[in-house]
Amino acid sequence: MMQERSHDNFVYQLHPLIKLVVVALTALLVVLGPGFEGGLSVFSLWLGLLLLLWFLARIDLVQASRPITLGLIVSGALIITQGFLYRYGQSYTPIFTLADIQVAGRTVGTFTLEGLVVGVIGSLKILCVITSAMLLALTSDVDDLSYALMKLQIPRDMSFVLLTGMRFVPLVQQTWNDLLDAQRLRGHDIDELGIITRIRYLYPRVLGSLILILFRLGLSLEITVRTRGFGATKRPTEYFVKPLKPTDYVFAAGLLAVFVVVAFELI
Amino acid sequence: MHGAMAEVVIELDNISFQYPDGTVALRGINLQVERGGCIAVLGANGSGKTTLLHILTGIIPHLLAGQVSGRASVMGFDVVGANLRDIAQHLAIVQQDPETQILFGTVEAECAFAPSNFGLPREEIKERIEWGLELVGLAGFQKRSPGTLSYGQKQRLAIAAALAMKPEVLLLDEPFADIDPSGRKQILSALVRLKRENGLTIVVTTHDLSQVAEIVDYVLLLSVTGEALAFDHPREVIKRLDLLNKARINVAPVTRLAMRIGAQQLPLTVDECCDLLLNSWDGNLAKVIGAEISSNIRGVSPRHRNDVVIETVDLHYAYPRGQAALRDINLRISKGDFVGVVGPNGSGKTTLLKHLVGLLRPLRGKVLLNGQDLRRLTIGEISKEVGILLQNPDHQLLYENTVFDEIAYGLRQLGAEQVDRRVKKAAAVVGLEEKQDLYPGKLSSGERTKLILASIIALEPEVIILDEPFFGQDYFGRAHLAQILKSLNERGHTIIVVTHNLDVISEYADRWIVLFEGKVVADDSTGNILASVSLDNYGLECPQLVALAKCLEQHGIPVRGATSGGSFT
Repeated sequence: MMQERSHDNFVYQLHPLIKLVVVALTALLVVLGPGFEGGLSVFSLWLGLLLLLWFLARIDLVQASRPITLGLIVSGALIITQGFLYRYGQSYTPIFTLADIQVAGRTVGTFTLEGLVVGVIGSLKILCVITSAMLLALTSDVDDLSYALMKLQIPRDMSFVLLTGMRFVPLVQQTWNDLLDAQRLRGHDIDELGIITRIRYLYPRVLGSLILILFRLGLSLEITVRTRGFGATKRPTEYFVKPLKPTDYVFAAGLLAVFVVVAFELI
Repeated sequence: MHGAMAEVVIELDNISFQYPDGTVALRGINLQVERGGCIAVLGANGSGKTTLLHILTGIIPHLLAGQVSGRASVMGFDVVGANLRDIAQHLAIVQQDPETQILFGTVEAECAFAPSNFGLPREEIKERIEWGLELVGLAGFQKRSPGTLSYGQKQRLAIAAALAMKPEVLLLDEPFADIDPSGRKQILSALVRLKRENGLTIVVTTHDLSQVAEIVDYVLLLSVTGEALAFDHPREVIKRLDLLNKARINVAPVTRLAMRIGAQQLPLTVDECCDLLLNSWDGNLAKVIGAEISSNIRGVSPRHRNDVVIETVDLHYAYPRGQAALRDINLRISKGDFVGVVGPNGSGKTTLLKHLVGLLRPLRGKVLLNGQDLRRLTIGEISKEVGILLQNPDHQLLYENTVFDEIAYGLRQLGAEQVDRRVKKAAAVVGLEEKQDLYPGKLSSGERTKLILASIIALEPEVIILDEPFFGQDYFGRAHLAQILKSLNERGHTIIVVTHNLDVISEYADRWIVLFEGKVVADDSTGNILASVSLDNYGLECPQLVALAKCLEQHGIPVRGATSGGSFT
């Protein structure tokens, strides 16, 4: 996941703590930010800022395609369900009606403007979370993240669990792809199968093999960690020291300013 | 080891071990290793070599369950009672598979992990990293991602990470199984230096003594049931053919040759054998050596140039943001060829194979299968004509209910009778006919490789490709697999094998393709390559008998059929 990436751009070289701040502010905005009133502009602006950082980071969209696709599917589903189900008080503005369906005394066959707006706001929130998390993951080394967590005084055991978890993500992905390739190489044209057939017959089988392989891998990694003296001293050396640079301070100040403007709808 | 007043750092006293499923892996092992000594644990697959290392590190019983009896002590620690983190301050282990022991995103971070855990000053950690990487030939790789390294380079990284711990005891579990000969020589010479200058104690497992001969002081020979058959100097152990046979271990070709001519002192390496022969040379020896070479090197076979099955045209490939892995490869592989693809780690061998089965698509150029561009075919379609055994066969296993079902997996479109016939035939070819009802997970590593090969054979492909099939297999496993490939070739299958094991491949392949830095640097019959190509220049090592013939020739003694005649016919 984090192997083939250009390191020579501004976003990549930002301090990992600053990138963690981006994620934290996004989470704060999503949890505490405005809803129906003002939400559209607030989250559009914040997403715009995140996409600008993506652009500056020159993130390979192919690399990020799966989470983005997942995010867009969930967003689409959210807009549709909210469009049909959300009612803002007693009044609503119908856009179109599929059918006159009454559920528990409420009309649910009509797609409303208010539902659409709430659905879009929800989608923007989801996309903000995905883009900020991926910005952090795709422009930071595991080593950088480990350092950032250490700086945040997260206990080393906990941050190490997170780190090995992140180490597992690309391994799981690679092993899954290898297993699918193995199916193809053994004469099984899985690309010709429909999604239902894949879910019913293919994926459970591949998942079984994956679990067996990961079990062995997990044990081997544990052996490596334990035999390399993890926990040998309560004060392990901070080998990778990464001080904050002036550009980090400037960026953080700008980011906070944008956050204040956006969060308090000062525009 | 029995040196006077020397400090004993490893001591095993009547150690036995039984896994929870009842399998007894080790039986009553006694061992003493002095500081600065090197012990080779020699045994076939399943003889308990890795289990022994796990006991020395404390992995058994702290992480792996089972019943240990006897006493094991390392650097004064009773390993059963001591804490793993305390043992780790004195001892490092390099496991067999490097991919399962890499934790971090850069080479530097990987090497820094253990010294950081010990709380060492940053400057010292930095020096240790540079020192360790230099020793294994990875100097300047600090900022590289391990994901961009070849398998052999990852193994070197694992060794560098262990060396950065500056251990007093270093345990190596078959460390050279996938490192090219030049890399092996480099690491061995570093270990010799560390042993001599720093008093590093080494325990290395192997099933090929010649790979580690230059550092080993003593050999612990294990039987397939985990008993110690011998603990003695390497030269004494190789004399005991009865014990070696019991342990399913074969001696090196030069040792075998020396036995054949009745030498009193048996050599372990080519240089030793060359010296031995030069000191006792008579004219008859040339004939004996020539005959030995002829029986071990496949002669020139007729080539079927007009019957091309696979062709690559100006094939070029580079990994994303990486250097070119293949550069303008032009190859024509004919029907019935038995081709060995050889080259050092990172030379592009696996990348080439992946192109031949459609797993990778060329950035430039094309691959033709029976004249058809592979880009127009799906991998499933290609697999019916070209089967491949990947470097890690476990990733190809589907863990079906039985060996029979596993082999039958790719035959769903056929009728039951045909499936039954094909599966039984394929199982018989690889020698698994008695194990068709077993669960695949119950098979040994070598058997799992054969199972995947059977599943490929069942598809009846025209071409069978194997990526390092001899990896991690003992002599008999390798010999059996090579015989299977030979019989498949005789039945008309085209065989392409990527390997470092030039001794095996020189006996069976009729053509070699030598890759170096993504280019084909030689493509000829086995005999011509061995006679005219300086494999040393490409990080490779001649088969032992050929190297011996070349050594003798350098001393003015030409061996019939050796180097100057142009081919080993």
